[in-house]
Amino acid sequence: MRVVIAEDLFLLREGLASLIKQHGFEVAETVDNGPSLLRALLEQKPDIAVVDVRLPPSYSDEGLRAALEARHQVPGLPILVLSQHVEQLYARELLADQAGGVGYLLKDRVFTDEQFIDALHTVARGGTVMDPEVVAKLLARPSNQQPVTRLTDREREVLALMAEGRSNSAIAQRLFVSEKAVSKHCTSIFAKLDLPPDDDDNRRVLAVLAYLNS
Amino acid sequence: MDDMTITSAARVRRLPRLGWGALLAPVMALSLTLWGVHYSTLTVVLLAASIWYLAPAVAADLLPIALINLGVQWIIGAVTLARGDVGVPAGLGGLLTSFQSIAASANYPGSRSHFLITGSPATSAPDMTTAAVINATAGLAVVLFGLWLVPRTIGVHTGLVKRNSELSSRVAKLTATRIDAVDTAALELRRVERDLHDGAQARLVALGIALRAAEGLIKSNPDAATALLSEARENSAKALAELRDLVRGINPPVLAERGLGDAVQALALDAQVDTTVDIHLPGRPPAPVESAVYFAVAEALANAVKHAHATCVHISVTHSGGHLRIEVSDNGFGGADPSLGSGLHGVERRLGTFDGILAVSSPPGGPTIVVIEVPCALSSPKTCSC
Repeated sequence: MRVVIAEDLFLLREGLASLIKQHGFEVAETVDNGPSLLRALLEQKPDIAVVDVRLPPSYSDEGLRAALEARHQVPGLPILVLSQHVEQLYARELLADQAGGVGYLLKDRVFTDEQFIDALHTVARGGTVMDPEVVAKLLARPSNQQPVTRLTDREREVLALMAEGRSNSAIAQRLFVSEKAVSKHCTSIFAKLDLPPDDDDNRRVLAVLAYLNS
Repeated sequence: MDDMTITSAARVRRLPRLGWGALLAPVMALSLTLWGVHYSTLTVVLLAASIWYLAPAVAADLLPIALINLGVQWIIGAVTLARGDVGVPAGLGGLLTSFQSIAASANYPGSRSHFLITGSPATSAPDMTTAAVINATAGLAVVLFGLWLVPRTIGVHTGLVKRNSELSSRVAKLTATRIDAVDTAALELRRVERDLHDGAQARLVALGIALRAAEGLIKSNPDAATALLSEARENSAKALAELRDLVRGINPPVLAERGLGDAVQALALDAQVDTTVDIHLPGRPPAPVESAVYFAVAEALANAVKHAHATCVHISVTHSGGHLRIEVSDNGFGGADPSLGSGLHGVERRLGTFDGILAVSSPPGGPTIVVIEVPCALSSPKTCSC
């Protein structure tokens, strides 16, 4: 799989590149600023891009803007956004096009490389990966809006893990239940959120969106 | 009120430059008339000039009085002349008397100034009458000019006095807010230092110790070393999390990256209660104002949740007439008082640095409305639509 990396700090950029190479990815290009990122994304059309939110020249949210613009021009272009901080606001912007293939993680998550590489695969496949911190913030917020209130506590737990981009088997492991039980919960969640039968990945994205918008 | 102050201030500034020639001209003309080219003329003109230069407010008061006085004396002199009596009327007092005598002598036939006014040595009675009429007319003109000046110079004077008191109250306010700003900054630095010392710094020390221990154990007890290393990794993640929180408290990332509008939106999204926002900002306020206002909104929102137990909050952000206005309203219990809680008081002091104000309406039982207003200009409009 071909990867584009956008990160302005040299050490981190090189670290990311070598980590990704170790896991069998091919680094197509590394860039260190917003405008080159947009060009690289549109020219290379990588299988996945790893993008830092804050990039030169303005050191504001150049990376995020470039990623959103690239996805606007190439819908569903898989992008995993990394940042020193996670914001619900940015998460919503990334998810707004409902095309999937989006990840949003704290930079710390790179420490645990299995989790990071899993996330890369999930996003490249068109899945959605949200940082546990974003999900935790969402959980902390009392929701009085339908239809998420219809979910049971267990179903909310499953949905939260789904938002983090975990597969059914990973969720099963985490909740100490069988994979079959998880898939039952998923079916129930999709039904309660009025999500029509569809490709599973896409339904998972929509479920996460419903959750975010609750 | 502002316009008035500006007008009188502008008038005061203009007077020494523009009004100067016009106002000095009659003084000079009078002096020349009275004494001709004489050291008294020079003294009077120099005196008038110095008063105008050094104390325009005093000159503003003195000038019309002096002019009217001179005019009256001139008329009296003319009347006296017409009656053929050149004596000085008694009982007019020092200044009047001296002007009287000057005026009278000025009109005395054969005197130098009389020559200047009439153009020829007056010796006959008809000449005396003509001189009297000319003098009376000139006197009347001077009196009228003096009267015309009264409301204008009084305006200047009161303007100056008002301006002075305004300036001193402004200086007092600036001194107070400057002390507040310095105190706040010092407190903030102390907090940052303490947080770093107790948080990230301590974690990094623990990290170093764990790594050193793992180094020693790696050959003899690889399992223990591995455990230490994963503990070290956890510690580094915790240090990062603490640094993240610290940064959020100093300069929230969304505020730095997107500005006030999106930062308030992010606040609303992270709030523990249902929070709606309504933002109309065509550009970005200066960064220090953005920061002060952001923390003010955060404080108001936190109060709504923590103290007023609100279940829904509305935040509106607008900019009009050179003022940034933010309104945070909730449906909680009310009863908030900025003089009681240190939170809102701190916010008020921080806003004060920018001449901003914080108004709280919070009757017992609610609702609470917090209004924040800061005079500021917005920078160029956002270039991005996202």
